[in-house]
Amino acid sequence: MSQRKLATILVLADYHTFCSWQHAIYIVNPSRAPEERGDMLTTPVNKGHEAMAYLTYIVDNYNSGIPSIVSFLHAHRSGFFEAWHVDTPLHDNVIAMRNLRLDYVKQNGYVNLRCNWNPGCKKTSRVNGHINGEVWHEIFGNTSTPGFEQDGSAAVPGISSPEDGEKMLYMKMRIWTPCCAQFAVSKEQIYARPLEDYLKFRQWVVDTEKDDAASGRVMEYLWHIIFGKEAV
Amino acid sequence: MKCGVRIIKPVIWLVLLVTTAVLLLVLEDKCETYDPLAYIEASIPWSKSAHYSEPAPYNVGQHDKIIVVAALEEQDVSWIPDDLPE
Repeated sequence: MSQRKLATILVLADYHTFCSWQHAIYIVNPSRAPEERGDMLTTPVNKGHEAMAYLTYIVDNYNSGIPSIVSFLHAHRSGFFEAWHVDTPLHDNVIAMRNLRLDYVKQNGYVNLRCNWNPGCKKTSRVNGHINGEVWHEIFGNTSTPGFEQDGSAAVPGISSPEDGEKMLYMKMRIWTPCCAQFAVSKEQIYARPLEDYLKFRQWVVDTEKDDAASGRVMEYLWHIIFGKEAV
Repeated sequence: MKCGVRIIKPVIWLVLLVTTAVLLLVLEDKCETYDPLAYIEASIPWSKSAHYSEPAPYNVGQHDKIIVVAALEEQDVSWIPDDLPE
């Protein structure tokens, strides 16, 4: 084999390696019995929409090693109505992934795959109807989230005195983010929280009285905070 | 009778005006969300934004990476291994 041909093959091999994506596809509603599922990835329960799968991936792989970049996506590829929240011109997740700026994800830690502010970041969403102080406390209390004491007593951001606490618990909060829970995160950003935090977030999804859609919507508005960004 | 018509006419106009304004607001909101013009433009085969067949240069780097997807069993997720292969 000529030197040049070998070099070409090596370059192509490298190119393939760098372009390739590993996959972790979680089926949230498996109909087969556990012993018949083979290597199918599943979630403990079907609740919280995509949040259950995202958190289960982190929990399951936290100790064994998470790749440099993790893209959390919905299952649909494209479609004007079905995938409207994908920001590429054809609402196509393949295009989005092929054009993802990996270095930017590494540098920023968390990148929402939707840049369009509507819905989620418009004036009409000034007050977030899905998250109040109580929900905030339930999810972030006793986690490593800045602002919380070890026992979770420091509760809601903005509380200046203990007597304000009760009132603030029921206040709706200013949390904005472009919608739809598709984002990329660096390994370092995931490891910025201990495993216990992710276990607690997932347990909240399981335990909350909110239904599948409502609990998923709450998490949709919290991913950027979970991964180190400001609330707005 | 004439007096009644004189009152009804502006009321009808007002209702039409308000309805149109609301419809325009909804339409504006939907256009902003769905971005139909960009979608149509990208659907035209010879448009600049129509083809992204290869990964962009900045998408290729020394990073191992994974796609995590939540799917219902009945959903077709074959596009993931087909178009974003390992």
